[in-house]
Amino acid sequence: MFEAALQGFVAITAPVPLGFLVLGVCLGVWGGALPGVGGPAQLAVLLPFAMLMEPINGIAFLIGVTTVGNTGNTFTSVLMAVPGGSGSQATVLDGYPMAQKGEARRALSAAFMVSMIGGIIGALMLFGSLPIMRPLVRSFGSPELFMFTIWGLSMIGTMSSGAPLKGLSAAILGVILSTVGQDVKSGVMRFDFDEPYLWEGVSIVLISLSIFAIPEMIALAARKGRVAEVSDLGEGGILEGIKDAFRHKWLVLRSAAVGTWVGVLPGLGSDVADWFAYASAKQTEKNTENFGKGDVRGVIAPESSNNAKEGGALITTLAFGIPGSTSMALLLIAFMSFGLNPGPDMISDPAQLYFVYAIIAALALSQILASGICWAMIKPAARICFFPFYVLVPVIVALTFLSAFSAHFSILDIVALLGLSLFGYFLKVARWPRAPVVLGFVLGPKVELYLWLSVARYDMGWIWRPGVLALGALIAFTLLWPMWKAYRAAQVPKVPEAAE
Amino acid sequence: MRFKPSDLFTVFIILVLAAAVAVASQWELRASIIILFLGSFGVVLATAQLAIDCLPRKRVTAAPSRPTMELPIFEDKNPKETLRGTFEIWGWLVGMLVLIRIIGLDLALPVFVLSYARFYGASWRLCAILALMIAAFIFGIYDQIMHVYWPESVLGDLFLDEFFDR
Repeated sequence: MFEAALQGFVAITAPVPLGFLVLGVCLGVWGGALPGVGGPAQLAVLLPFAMLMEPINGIAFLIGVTTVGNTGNTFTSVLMAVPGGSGSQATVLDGYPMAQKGEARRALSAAFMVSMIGGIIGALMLFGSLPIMRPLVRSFGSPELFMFTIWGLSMIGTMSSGAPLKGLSAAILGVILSTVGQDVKSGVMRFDFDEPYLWEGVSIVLISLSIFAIPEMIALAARKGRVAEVSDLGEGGILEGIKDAFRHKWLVLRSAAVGTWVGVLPGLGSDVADWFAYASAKQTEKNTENFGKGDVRGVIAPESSNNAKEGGALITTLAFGIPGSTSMALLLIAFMSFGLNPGPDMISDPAQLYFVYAIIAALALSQILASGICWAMIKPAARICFFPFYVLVPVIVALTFLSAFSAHFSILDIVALLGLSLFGYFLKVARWPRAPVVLGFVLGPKVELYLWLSVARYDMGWIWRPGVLALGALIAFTLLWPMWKAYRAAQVPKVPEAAE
Repeated sequence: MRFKPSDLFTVFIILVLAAAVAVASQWELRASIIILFLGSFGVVLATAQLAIDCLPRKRVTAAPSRPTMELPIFEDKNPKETLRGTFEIWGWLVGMLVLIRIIGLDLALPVFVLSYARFYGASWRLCAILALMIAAFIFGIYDQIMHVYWPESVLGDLFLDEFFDR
């Protein structure tokens, strides 16, 4: 095993594969930083070229492209409130307020540091878990996945800025928005208004752009100012961000573990890892009153998890041949075209095991390279915060429109974007929490699917499965812990001001 | 009973959720159960929120001291100016949609960038650079690499078909 691991590492660090890895990482970071360009669309464009390469070169190139998008898209999330991809939506919640306070460099630096650490932890978990992961993942059936998604929804109360009723109502609205289109179970067209465009449902791209990006650009254009509300970014920031990562090392480790686990579970979707990590940080950290107002921990948690999940997603892709996302499905196609056979055979066949370790090495190296590239770009990129609105607003709105158009390549994407943006804008003005809408939208289809599969397969007997009961206890803890904390806080006798 | 303008949005949410439940009740249970269950729950929650907001009670409100994601834009130093700016940007967005329909998305976006930046005081040079950047991005990535099929436009239908025999 160690011989295969060493062979894999040596193969990937040879000049030619390393060159392809660097090229892939550059393209991955670039695609991540430009809204609408990265992710599966970019991978689909590059896949035919990669398939013509030598297997080891193709693997290096594709791992570079696929696994670093979440590092690149931190730029837009922090500097423009535009989630560059589904893995960086939660970063907007604290990253953008940090940019407004003139702490963009610190936020970006911390994000890149923890992205690298998270990505390496994901790779190490992939390395260490291959022999033991099979029985663990198999124990997760649809009832456990249903409870896992309910756990995600139960976290909404913690993300609702002291308005849990609004948060839960907004999340339910997000779930209902996610039901638009054809129901695959029954064939019923839901909320389609006889419009073919809606048959495929509303794209997550449109939801995240209209809930976060456009309302923030409207606010910026309306006040005719700049993103940063301070006069300069100061000299420091980058070093402070690196220190933040080590100052909150346990949060980084916890969030990376959450990200890896979410990535491991097939079908849960990689776009919820950052939300889970954010909500879990908000629940478990002390003094969370500044979350959502520019707390660096609100950047560290999602960024640690969204790169770690790539290692987790590769576990199921390589060990079971089950891709957990569109990108992993495309990667699986490429691996098969290289003559590999992802699944249990790949782990047991010594000839293929060498490639598995090459993939792990490429994954770890990609994270280091991507963070290095992004660090080099922090200083010039952070200046965006001081661009006047008449430069930033038209460019970002144009990129947002292009990004929305990429959802279905229809003019109706832009009409839908504007309609949903009006809704997002009113959410902002009426002080409704916006994050729960996106989380409800992401989790809605999974809640519905896993509930239906559980009932169809086990009737009501699924409720008594041990995994379901354990997750039920976790949900109860999630819901009751904030109340217990509030109760304890109320019990502490108030210290008279004079005594202070 | 104090009914604020922002409570209208809560009423809107209640109506949307109630309408969703009413529509879903006509479908078979497989397709509607999640909407019926969560939607009804949502109506109750949003109504409770409306009651909490409207019923008279002691309020302790503290203005946020730092920028947050939920900071309402009408709390600016000059609310009238901000409100006017809000209408302006919405006008620009709707205008861009109309422009996209008339000249096509690939041309409308650079034109929008150029005209918006120029309208608010950017130099012609800066406007041209910004518009060219967007045009190059559209042409290079979307047109040449992704081979995107651009949606039809009114002027495109009128003239391009004539000249290029499309």
